[in-house]
Amino acid sequence: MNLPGRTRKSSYYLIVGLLIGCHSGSPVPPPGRQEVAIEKACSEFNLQGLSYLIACDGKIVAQQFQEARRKNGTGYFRDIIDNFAAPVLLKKLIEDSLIKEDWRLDSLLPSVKNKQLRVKDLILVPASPYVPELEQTDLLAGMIKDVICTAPKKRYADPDRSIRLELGLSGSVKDSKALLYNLLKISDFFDRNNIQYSAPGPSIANLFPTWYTRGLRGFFGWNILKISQKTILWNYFTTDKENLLLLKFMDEDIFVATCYPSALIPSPLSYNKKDLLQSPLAIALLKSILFPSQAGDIDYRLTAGSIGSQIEKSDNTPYHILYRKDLIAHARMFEYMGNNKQANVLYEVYKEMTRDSLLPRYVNAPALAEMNYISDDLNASAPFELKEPARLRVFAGGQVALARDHEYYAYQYDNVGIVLNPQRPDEKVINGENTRVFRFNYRSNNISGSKDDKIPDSWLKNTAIKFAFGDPSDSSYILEVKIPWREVIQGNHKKITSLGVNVFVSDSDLEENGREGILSWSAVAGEGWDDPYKFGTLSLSGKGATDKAKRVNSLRVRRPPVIDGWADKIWDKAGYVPISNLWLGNVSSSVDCSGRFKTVYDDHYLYFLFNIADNCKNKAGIITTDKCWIENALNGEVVWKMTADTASRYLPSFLEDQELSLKAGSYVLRYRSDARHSFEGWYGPVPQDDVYGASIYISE
Amino acid sequence: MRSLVKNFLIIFLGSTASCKRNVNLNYALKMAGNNKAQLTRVLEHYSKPADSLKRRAAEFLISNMPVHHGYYGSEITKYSNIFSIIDTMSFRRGSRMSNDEKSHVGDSIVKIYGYPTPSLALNVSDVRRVSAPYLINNIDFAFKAWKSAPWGKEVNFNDFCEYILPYRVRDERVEYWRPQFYEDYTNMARSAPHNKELRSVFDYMNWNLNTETNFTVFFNRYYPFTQSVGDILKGRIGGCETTCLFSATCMRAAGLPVALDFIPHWGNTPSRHYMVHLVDHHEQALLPNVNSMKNTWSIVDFSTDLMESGHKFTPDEFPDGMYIQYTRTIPKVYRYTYTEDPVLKKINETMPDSLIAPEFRYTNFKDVTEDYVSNADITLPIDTAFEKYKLAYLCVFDVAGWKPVALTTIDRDRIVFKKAGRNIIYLPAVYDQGNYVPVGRCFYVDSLSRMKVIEGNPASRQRMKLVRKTALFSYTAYHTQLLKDGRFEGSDSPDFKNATLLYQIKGYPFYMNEVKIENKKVFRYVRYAAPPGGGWEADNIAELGFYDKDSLPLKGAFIGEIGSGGHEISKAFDNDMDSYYENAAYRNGWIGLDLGKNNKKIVSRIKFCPRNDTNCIIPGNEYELYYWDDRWVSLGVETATINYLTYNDAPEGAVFWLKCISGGHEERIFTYSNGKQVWW
Repeated sequence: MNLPGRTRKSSYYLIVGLLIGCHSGSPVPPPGRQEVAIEKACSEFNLQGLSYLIACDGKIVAQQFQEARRKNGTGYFRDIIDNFAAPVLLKKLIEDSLIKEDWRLDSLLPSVKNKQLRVKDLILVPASPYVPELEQTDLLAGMIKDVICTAPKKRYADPDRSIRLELGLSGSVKDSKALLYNLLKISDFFDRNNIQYSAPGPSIANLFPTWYTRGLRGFFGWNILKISQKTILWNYFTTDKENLLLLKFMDEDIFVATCYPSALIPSPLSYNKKDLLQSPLAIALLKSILFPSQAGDIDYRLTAGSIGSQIEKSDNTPYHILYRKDLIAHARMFEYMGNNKQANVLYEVYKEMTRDSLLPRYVNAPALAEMNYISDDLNASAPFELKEPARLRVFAGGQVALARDHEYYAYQYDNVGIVLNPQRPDEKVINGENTRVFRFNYRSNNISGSKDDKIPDSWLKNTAIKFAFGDPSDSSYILEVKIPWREVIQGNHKKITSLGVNVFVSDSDLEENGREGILSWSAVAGEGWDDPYKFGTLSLSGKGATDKAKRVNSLRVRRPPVIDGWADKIWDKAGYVPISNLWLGNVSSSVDCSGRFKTVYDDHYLYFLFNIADNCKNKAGIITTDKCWIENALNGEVVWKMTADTASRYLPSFLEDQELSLKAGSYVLRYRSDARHSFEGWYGPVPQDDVYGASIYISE
Repeated sequence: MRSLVKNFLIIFLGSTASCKRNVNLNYALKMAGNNKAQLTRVLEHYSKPADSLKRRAAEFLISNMPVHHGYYGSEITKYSNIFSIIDTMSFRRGSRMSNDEKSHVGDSIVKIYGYPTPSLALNVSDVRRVSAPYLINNIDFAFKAWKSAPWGKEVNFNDFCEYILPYRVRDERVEYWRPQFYEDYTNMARSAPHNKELRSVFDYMNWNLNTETNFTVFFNRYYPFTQSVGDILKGRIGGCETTCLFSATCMRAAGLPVALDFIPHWGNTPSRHYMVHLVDHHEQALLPNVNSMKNTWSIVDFSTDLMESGHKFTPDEFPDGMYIQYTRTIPKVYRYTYTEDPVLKKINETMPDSLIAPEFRYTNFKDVTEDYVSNADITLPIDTAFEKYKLAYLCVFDVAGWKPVALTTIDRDRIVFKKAGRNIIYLPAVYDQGNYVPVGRCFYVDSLSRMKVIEGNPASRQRMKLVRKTALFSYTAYHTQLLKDGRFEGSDSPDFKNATLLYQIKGYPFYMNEVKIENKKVFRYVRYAAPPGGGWEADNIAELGFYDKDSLPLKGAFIGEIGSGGHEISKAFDNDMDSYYENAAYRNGWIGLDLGKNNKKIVSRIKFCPRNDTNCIIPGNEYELYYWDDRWVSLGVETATINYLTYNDAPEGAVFWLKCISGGHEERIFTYSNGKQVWW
């Protein structure tokens, strides 16, 4: 390939590289690595006819153009240029107050009003709410042009702040050279007008290196990938025959534009995903710029063991993900080329190194919804529709905090509480001091309880109470409990025929330790939880399930239930009573939280069985600091929530895979990350698997 | 003709100012050395006419940059790891660490490296470090904040340059913070209830930003340098100097013109103080430096300790010889500026360091005392023998030695200190190689601006009854509120059913109290029960003792409501007035003793003491009294046997200092008047 001016370029690279290296603390990318990477990718992936242009700090440092003429090129490339130029111009127009960027804009610009978009929506794309129009490139380009055309002609008054394209917007773009040069000019213009986004220099610590893209999924018409305190802006356009991949490495001041024939390799938009790391070309460039120079390339024609051991070396580095994606890219390439044997070798390596055994099965499956490489402070959403009921497979990962607050505030998590008093609630004088409370936190091994809500919960020790949780479905749980009579009543329990009881179901949702509502069986809102006069009656002599006067009948059984979290047949004899009083806070629906219980007894124990519906089942002490959930798009109801696997050796990162059933309908996958520990920068072990975010597939 | 002269003058003065600016700019560029290109690039960036104001801002920053520096190097890196560790640990557990836990991190680092050595830190001038993109970003975002703020038009360009534009507040490390802070804190400003009114936004932000860091004055031992913004974001711990630096940075990012002001030393308590000040040129009430129950936090936070809901003590409610000090007095207030103070600059340029107190070897702060306190100009005669020192200092008392709060040049046989706070005892002195040599008598200026020289009369002696070694501050007095109406009970039942009331506290029990009990019943359980319903803080008590008929202390198992961490029940029975029990459940607390199954006892006496500052006279402790006569002269050592000391031969009219040899350093000077210690 013809790579002119390499010597001069190399020294330039060296200087820039030194600056970058000093600034980021990472080793200097050796000169010309990007060209070598592109060449290698071209060769490996058979990308004949590829043109590229690499610029550093606005100056071209490498270029290669194929001069083949393209049919239908003009209109297509004009659209591309519009896409890149328009948002920048638009920002300039707003800054110059030629158009107003506020809520009144929609009255000024009917075209925007019709689409219910504001100019801001076109420029800085927030991660949420989801705006379908922004996903449609053609529509977006059209709307931007509409907006610009509505502005006064004065917009080009300042020649220094407008773009002079090689062949202007009205001209024709005939070849790749002109196209890529124009894109470089637009990129330069972008930089000049957004100088404030530059890095502060090597000697000054940048506290928020990616601040300008914080919470954003798009930035002036670009997509964002943030990795290890660096921001990479990217864009991708395609027709049936042509592909254009553009990358801006913001921290390194490097711009890369590539143009290549279609369909040979997966694109960032393949598999119904928006994932730059599906493109082998992008991976090659990212590796060449972000990787330490000593990091070697992997020969994917070797044996599985050799490849695996080479990739393992990258474990626990922020760039581990690039190796994994590179592996997949090569596996796909071998598959495409018909070398299934080697493809399978690579897929096996991938499978071996993936902790989640199911994830490799979905590597080439189209996603229903997906958001990955989550960065800090993101609030993102991705809609999806199910035309018919489906069983889904969700892979979701993020950060978990192992809180200790449940030692004091267990009641803030999902739990079931049983409050008992040996006297009936209709007795004239009840000794409240005999009231006992037992609280069972979902999936916790401990029982908490206390007589006084003014002091922290205490764990009950040396108790003979036994209990077990079961999970009959994604959104429900069972609690089985047996309580020795001696924990309830001093003396002979056989002398009593009834006692006072109430049960509570506490529900937390997205915030695991932020109790949102409490359901009660007998007491109603405003009545004391430990007021024995507001308890219901647990009758030991009644027949049937219950009557309606806050009364539940407990049946005497000869063979006790097995406390294992599953309702064995013995329970069939007793009837459920609903726990339906909203005692505190908010429970939005029966999907959010509802419950029922039944009870039996024998000579030694009093038994309870609870069946609780809960859309967010939260274990005490486990708080996902990143929240991921699926909402019903119609009513906003949470139908699934990410829970954390705390056994991961990559804590605080974790990855869960879950299967769930959803009815036909519209849904939104949502993800809200916290301020730290993400692809933007890890402070703990780097997660091994590919998913830090969530992806949903139709279950195999 | 007149207008011609006027125009000429304007042009002349303008060109003089411009010329001076150019001189400063050229000097800065010269000082930049290899970094000159970076600074020049900034100026070139704003070379277009449309950017003329930004160009002036750039010139302002660069011209005044040579005086600014930050501390870097391995000594800084080593110890700033403390903040990184705190940050990581906090995020891993999902909540902020307590001050104690953060101190543990500091201890661990110190255990590895030893305590920091400030002199090893590398002092790097900003002109040699600041890059063009950094400065351009800073200027652009400062302008953005200024111009887009609803109050932007109220802020003139000079104030903008001094109090919004700077990229640093003190001598912290230079870091790139402004763009994200602009995003974050303009949002906070918008949340203010009246978000278009500058004062309202300032009050709202100042209040909210205070809680972004944990307050402690003890963290400096681990990190004695100015914390950078990054350090604060990670560690979220420090004293007022840290909190205020952070607040000022945040508010400047949001376009509020704010300054970091500081009191070099309080007039009547130890240490210095920092505060954030809104520069809106609105006059505020001046503090009179007079002890009163008037809340003055809106002028200077911590200048009073007054709890609005607290009890208003009357003189008959506290022990004889004491009064409650609500007010901290202020001798001087200074403001950090980006520009140099011309007077300080001249002094530092023309005088040797050996004559300049370390506190005044910096030049980027200015005197703003008149914005805060009623003040007076003080003229003092001085022996011409001191003329060689060239500079004289106004000092206030500190247990570590007299501390300078103001300086002035010596004018042969007199010195003039401008704008000094009233009602504070000062000592005029010169600086001689680390020591302050008195050049006159102690004095204060009263509320009517009359100077009162304080000089002991050796010929006239007086008898003094001393009850404290420092003033009784209101925050200590408030602790006594919690004990009023508290009950001491005996019972044979562990739940104190049908308990016998032994004694009920009637008034406000300052320090150790002892009551005789007439009841001759025997009890297995004895206790102190806090007044029901609680008070402004969790129930607490420092000391509790029950004595049998032979005056021997009763012993038994501790019973009662659990104490909070570090304040368990045992702390009330440890004979240490410094430690105290605190009810973990906050209210309705009680503590006592289970004397044992067959060990019922009569209670003949009860001793109890509220949480306190232990600055009263404590029996068993050794004290030494001094008076000032150009040096501290001892009046002898006494061991306290009761809760006051008597000195029979003290000079009248002198300033005294009662030191506790047994321990504790909270001490202040006092005069003696009408049989009472008067604290200064």
